[in-house]
Amino acid sequence: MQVFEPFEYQFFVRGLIAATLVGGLCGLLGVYIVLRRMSYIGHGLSHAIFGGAVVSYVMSINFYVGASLWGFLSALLINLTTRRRPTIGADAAIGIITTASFALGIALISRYRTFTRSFDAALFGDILGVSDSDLVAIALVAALVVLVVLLSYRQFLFITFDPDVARFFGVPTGWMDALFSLALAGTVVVSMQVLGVTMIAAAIVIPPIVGRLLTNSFHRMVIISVATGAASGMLGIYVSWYADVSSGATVVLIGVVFFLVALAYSSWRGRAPSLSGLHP
Amino acid sequence: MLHPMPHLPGDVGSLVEFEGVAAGYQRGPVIHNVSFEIEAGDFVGLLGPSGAGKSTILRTILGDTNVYAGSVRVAGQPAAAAAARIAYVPQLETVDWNFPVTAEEVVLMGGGARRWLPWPSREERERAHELMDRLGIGKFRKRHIRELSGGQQQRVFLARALAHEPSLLLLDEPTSGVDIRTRDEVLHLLDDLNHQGITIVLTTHELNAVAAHLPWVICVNETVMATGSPREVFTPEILSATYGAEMPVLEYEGMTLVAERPHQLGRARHGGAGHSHAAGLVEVTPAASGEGDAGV
Repeated sequence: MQVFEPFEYQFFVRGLIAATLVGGLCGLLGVYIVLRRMSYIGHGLSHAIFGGAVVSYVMSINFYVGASLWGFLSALLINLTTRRRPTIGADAAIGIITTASFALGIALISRYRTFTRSFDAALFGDILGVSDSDLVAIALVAALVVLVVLLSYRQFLFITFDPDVARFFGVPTGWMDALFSLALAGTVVVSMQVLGVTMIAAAIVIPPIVGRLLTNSFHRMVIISVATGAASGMLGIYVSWYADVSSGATVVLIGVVFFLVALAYSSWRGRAPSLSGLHP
Repeated sequence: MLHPMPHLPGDVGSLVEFEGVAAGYQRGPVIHNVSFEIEAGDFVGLLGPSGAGKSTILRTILGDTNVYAGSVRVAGQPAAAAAARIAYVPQLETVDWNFPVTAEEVVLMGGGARRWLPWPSREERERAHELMDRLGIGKFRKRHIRELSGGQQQRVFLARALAHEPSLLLLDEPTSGVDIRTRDEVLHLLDDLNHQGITIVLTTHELNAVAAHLPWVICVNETVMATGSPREVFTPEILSATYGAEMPVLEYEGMTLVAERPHQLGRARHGGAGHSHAAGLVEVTPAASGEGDAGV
């Protein structure tokens, strides 16, 4: 077995870079999502965006534009529903809006039946399908999201910790929420090709939890989460080459290994922050 | 007993002015026809039972409610425009104590919301340290917020509010859920801040433990029932109207104490012990008067 053998193939290198970037990106935004106890939104949004992808396909709109816009609108709709109708909780709003969107996608597929194969890839991830233009899109979204997070780092921290009070300290919470939804929609769209709709939720949730288990500092949690996400992506693709297993599933399973190691380590140190606090 | 900072000389005008205000949230007003004035330098307690609209008044000062009628002015401006000069300390119970932040990181939130760089400036950091030293939490900077005592936690959130450089400080139930010593610590700290020129408005439902120590009290139950010093407003009539329960007021060694008419709850124990226990509440004895809080 040649360790460097897969690197001779361009599609493998492309896939490896894509998975590393996407893993790190999901780890970055995941910190905010997990701490706001909205873990389910990654899962929901990826399903919603699947619907958006099918709609853009049917209407022959560019996939990235159509799907991102669809995801962004879904996220806004979830926020709006939760704010305007407090009787509908955030979890229920996510459930209704995103599954409706997913169902719409499935309905359209079953009606037009012609593109079942490529949507298999969207559901479960297909690293071989990463093209140069996909890679450019991933790199572009990664650069933009990192820029947004850097510029809004302290505002995001405040509204994640204390959304109600941040407003009173002059943080424009409505705009920041919208900006975050946009970054998240873009991330989920570019992650679909690599991880698949069904695996994105795990890529968003596992790295931040690894970070949380290992530190009590927000900054260190961000760094650990990004590193864990990127490492899961890179190792996942590498292992999936040899194991001949779906790339998305492998990335997630590698993440789970990181999680178990972090859990064991923090238990051994005897200061495991309670996971119940992170997951409602 | 805390002493009020004397009103500033000359006519400085009201810092907060409510005139016939009805305000609330999406489902309609929670408070009706509320009128009061708070002057710069005041130390005011909003007193009333749960659900009376005390927090709604705080949020209306912050410009965070729907105002259905009347006018709200803060420093002569509509509330929302003035909100930048107001700092707010939330109830400790609403804080997510599992969130991974240190005491210092929380304090830094107060000043840095406007900066477009991920890290604080040197002046900000120095100011945060100075505030934390002043509040006696300087050595807990790197501690996770859950590793602090109740009093230290309250000080961290107070320091965050002060980092905002407010002229008006609003606190939502700063003494609920803390022990007696912490409560006294917090009240004295607020008294110090008031003497340094910061106007303070807090909400409380505790009569003897908190409201009785404040220089000025506004009794609230959906509207303003009374305003004045505790001595003036602690009358059985006003308190019954505010709390919707009978509340005898007693004078004991120069203190005004509010008692609660005892109810006979539960099954009486054999031998009538339950009865004498209930009677003990009304007969104020020196042993029971110190920290008694019949208002809860």
